[in-house]
Amino acid sequence: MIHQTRVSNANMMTISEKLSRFLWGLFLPMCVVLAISVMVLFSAGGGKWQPYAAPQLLKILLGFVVFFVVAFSNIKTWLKSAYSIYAIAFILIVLVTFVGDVGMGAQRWLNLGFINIQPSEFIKIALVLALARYFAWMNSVELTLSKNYIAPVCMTLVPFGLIVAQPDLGTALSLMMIMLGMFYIVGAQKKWFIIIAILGCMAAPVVWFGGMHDYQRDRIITFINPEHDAKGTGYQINQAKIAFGSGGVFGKGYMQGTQSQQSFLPEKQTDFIFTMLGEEFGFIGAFILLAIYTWIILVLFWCAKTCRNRFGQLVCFGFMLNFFIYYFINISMVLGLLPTVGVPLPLMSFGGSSLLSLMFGFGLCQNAHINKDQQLSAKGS
Amino acid sequence: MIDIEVGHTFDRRSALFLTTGAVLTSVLVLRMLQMQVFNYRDYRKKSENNSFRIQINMPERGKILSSEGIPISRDTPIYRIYVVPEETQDIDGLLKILTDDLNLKQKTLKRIYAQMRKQQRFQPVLISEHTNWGNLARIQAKNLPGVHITSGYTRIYEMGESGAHIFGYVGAPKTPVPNAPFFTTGILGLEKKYNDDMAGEPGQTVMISNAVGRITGEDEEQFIKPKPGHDIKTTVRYDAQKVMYDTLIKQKAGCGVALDIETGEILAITSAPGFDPNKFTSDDAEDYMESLRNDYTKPFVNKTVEGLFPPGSTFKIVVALAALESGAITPNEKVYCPGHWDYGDRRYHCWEAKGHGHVDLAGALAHSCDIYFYRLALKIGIDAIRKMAFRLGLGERYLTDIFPKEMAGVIPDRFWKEKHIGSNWVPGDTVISGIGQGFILTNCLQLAIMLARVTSNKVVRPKLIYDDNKAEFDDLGLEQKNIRYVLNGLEKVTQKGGTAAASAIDVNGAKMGGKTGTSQVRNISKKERATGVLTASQLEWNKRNHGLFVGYAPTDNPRYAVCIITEHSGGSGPAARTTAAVMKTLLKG
Repeated sequence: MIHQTRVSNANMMTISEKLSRFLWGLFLPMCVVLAISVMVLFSAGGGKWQPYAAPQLLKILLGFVVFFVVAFSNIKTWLKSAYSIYAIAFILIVLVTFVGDVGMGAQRWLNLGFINIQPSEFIKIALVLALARYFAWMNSVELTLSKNYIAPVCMTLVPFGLIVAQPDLGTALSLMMIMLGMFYIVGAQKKWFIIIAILGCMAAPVVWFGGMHDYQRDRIITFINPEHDAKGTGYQINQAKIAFGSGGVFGKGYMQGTQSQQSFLPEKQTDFIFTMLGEEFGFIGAFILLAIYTWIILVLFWCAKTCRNRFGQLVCFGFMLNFFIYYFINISMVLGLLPTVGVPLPLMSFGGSSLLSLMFGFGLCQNAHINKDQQLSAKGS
Repeated sequence: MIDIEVGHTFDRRSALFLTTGAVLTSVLVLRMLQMQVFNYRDYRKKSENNSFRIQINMPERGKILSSEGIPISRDTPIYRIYVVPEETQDIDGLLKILTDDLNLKQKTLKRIYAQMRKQQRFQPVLISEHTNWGNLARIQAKNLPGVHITSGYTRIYEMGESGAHIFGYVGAPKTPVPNAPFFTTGILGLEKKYNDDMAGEPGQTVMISNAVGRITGEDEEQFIKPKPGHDIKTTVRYDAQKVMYDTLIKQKAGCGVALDIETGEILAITSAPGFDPNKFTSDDAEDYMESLRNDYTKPFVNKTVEGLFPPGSTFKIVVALAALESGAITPNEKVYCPGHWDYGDRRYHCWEAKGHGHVDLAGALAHSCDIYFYRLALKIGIDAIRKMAFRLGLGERYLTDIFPKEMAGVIPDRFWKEKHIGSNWVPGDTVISGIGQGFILTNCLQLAIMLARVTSNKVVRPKLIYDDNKAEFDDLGLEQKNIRYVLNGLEKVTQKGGTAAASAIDVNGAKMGGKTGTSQVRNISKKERATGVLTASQLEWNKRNHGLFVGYAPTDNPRYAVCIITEHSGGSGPAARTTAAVMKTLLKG
């Protein structure tokens, strides 16, 4: 208590104090995954730095800048700017819906001239931040009142609708799950979850026949029966499964993946990077990555649990949910457990938007942990 | 500080997340185990099939050689020209050059463009499959970008039309061999029967390819060199085969077999018209096939063994020997031939309407007197004739392993007639059997064997594949003097007054004996006989009689037996002349 009081009174920690609270147990596994990512991307480029490894390394360096700036900044800055950040991410979503570049029948990319960004990656972190801010000062009574959930449902459903329209079902459903997870953990009444589950089941046929693109329907049919179209829609997932399974226990060896190296494996540098890892490093390699991910989840959970201010707790918990949903959907998809939806593997896949938003998120969680004892008043002072 | 109640909610509810997370993570681990540990082998195999493109390299196929060692069918190197569209700036211009140099047809160009539209730009398009040296050199000299050349083999059939039925040809197998677009297998005749000996062992080149099929390299460890096949040496004499076909085809249609009497070796065997398998790989192959199918002379039928003909007067050899062996006649007994003979309620005619007068056995053979043999047949009965026919090799199949469609023909008796015709055998059936008409059917090979057996008094069996061990045939067991009596008659056939006097030969003193035959295609009506039988030229081709001739030479020490059948030639003259031509070649060789 004394320690905590001192900090809250001082209201500002020195850099060395912050460094002493720096959570290496979260930072180091993140670095290891990034290192694995660069290594696998080097292999995906056929043993060359181009076209994947070197550009990704640059983005990682940029990511570290973001990470450290966020981690060591004042937590109040993020508390205050939570809604603004959400607003910016939301505007980007609106923009991409109307002027975005189309890829695979989906509008996902916003061309800013010098860089292409994927706003749907940012909105996931922004939503966590905004929801954390929203629930930060609510007491247990307020949290059981249903009217208090109308605003956060709107904050989720509007971007959800836009992203479904892109259409990017994977990200949209991730948003939904983040929202539901946050609602549940803050203490929303359980009946609502039952109602939502029933509504979800009823909506499924409407979505299937009314709201889906042909390619999405194809993907789901293919998922249920992969032989349905082995050369077309089923090709990708079949090839991915062959690549992954043929890795065996020890893998085919670094840069020896016959499937990946000879481009049987589509999207091996982005959504299917886990397959490439599994082909070249086998069960052992894939298991190690999954273990590191699990470690990160447990550390984030521990951060949330030990955080003594509600905002930091919800940020850590929300980010944990986001991170888990990310990799669970991706890995399930490439292993053929879920239909193919475009979700990258966190910290591994080639691409800047996902990486930067994740490192921003890791920065926030570090920040929350460093400031876990700080009191944050409703006035934000 | 966090509200205590809120903090409790977090602790309580987080258990659900931890449990769910643990379950879902376990699912992932189990799935990874299932794929990479338990089902590893399946995936591994699939991955190997994925990345390797096996290309089968055909070996040089063994040759079919004549008995002199001249190639009858052989492989020759050819060059296949491909174009890879992405490697050239101007694909239309390139195809224009190739069209001019290779003389490509409009149809071929159409196929090339269709194929290009269907496949990726880096995949090769076959421009010309059979490119000869001259064209190849011209194209190589131009050093055109995007043009690729691979070598292979194509089959050359030196005998062309004259050997197709016998030596056969190669073609694509019914079920295509994967990865081997140019795989060929024997389709007919010796090419089919000895395919395994001649085929050799294909090799393989294993190319490493990527997902879209672009070849990125070669796996040299898996390279297997093709092993060439073995040659097959036949008994056929190149010169005799050529002469036989060339002479036969002048008669429009027919067939012929020449045997070595001592060894049973088939020295020539041909069916006319034939077809030229060399044309099956040309651009006009389909039109050619169509014209063959529509040809009323039936080029696809191997008439030497599949064609059944009444043996006509050549069968008189069988009847004569049956009679002599049974002791029913002596060779000097004479029969009076007034040109016809009344038996029962029918009148049987001799081909010579004015009759032969008094004829003995030799005379009856030399002049082919029908009356003599009508009466002889009746005297000894169908069973004795039938027994002798079988003994001399008729009614039997010899080369079914090479020619599955070989026909046995018909050597009838009362049981046969009851079974197949459904009526009783009458003496008239025996009478006309005496001149090889009626129900009797034989093929060309059988008639050649018959003569070989008569002249050698051995159970001669034919063979088409050359081997060094001389076949020892069993004795046929005929009385030597009876054979002599018959041969005396056959020698007179080609002498002055004989039915084939025009076809006499003399090669360094070696002379030919033989027997003519005419097999009736239709019955001659009474009215026609009254108004005079129409001559051959007055009849439609397919209503004219077949001409037959069986010949042997030299008469003093028989070595060769030949049977020639000329289809619808009217009489036996063309057959005898063809036999003479073949025999001359055999004797000179």
